[in-house]
Amino acid sequence: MNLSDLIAFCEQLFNFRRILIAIIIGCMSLFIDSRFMAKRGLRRESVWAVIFGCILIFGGLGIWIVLQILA
Amino acid sequence: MFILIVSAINAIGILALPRDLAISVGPDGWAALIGGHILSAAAVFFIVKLALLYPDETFVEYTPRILGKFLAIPLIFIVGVFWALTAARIVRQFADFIQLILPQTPIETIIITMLLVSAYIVRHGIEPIARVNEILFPVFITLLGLLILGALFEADFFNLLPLLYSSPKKLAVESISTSLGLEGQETIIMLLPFMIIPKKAYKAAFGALAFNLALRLALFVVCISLFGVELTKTLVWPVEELTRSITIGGTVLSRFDSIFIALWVSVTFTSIIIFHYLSSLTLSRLMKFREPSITVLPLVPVMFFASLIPESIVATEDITSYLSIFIGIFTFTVPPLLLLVSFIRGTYKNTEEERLGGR
Repeated sequence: MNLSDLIAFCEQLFNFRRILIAIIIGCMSLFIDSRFMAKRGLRRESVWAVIFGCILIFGGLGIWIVLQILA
Repeated sequence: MFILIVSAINAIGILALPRDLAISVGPDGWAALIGGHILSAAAVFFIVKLALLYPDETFVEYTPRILGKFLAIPLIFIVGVFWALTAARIVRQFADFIQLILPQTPIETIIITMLLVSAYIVRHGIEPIARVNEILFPVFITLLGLLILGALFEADFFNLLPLLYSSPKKLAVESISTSLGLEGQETIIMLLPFMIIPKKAYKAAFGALAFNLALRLALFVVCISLFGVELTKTLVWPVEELTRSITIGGTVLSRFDSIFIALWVSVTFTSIIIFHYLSSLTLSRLMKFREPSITVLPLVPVMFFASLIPESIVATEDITSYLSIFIGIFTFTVPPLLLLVSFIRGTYKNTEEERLGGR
């Protein structure tokens, strides 16, 4: 698989609708999970929920932007 | 535990099993099934033996003590990821299967719906998962029981002849392949500490394997005796095709296939939740989280994108075989090795002392 094939494959795999799902789940982790953990006094878990949420949101957006530029 | 193991092993693969066996060994698939399950029983023996040495700990806790953190952490991480990939593979096969009756529905919709419902249950821990399995297990048994009984009336058992026509080498290879394909037998490595009486693990694990063997044998025999070897080879989902071919109770259940597909959703669901839970539990314990539900949601997009990588049913089957080989190699090599190292280093004695000290 050469680079152009890989980009075409990734563009098909990470389309806008699918990325949106990752972003929504990232938001759920960021806003629901982290607060839920903080309420239960689990500070470390709350921080990790924020990290997971941010990875999903910014990772998803990042992949989509990079693919738009490359394609 | 018996129900959990049976549910984990039997997801969507069982629907295509007669075809795979018919292609590789023809009517001798029953022999490969028996051989494969005997091999699996040997692997399960080592898994339970190892897990019983550390009855209060999961694979994530005792592996670093046996192997040291340097080797154990990558191993545990890989196993956790592969459990997530197994869940992704099952959900993708399920989506392909559901598209038989919902061809207009986007595959993403089927997959994400299943994963979100799975996440909802998995977040609540092992107890709801076990209860869901307990509730849905009779559905699974009734469905397959009705199917097998209905097919028996129209079966022609001469299609199973000639007996033992395949070469011993082919049978041995297919037995190994069948054994590698029984993903789910390794669940006990993580779930034994949750058992009320861990010593019953042998009974549960061997009982689940025996039950699974009986079920698969029955399905293979009815498929081959109804369709013959050559036709079975051409069917994508022979068991689903079986439901189209039979009528139960005259015209009372003439369209058994629609009921079967609708209810099979619940059967696949039980398998997905087990692997989703195993993956989230493994990764959360590896990262030393006090609340395992924190990794459940982040795993959903991972499984979602992993399940969308294959472009067709054929590509999914290729990936499935690679996953089966990996999980099979893990099941057959890692527990015996851990057991051996554990005996050599005597790490299990510390656990026994801790337990006795605790009392």
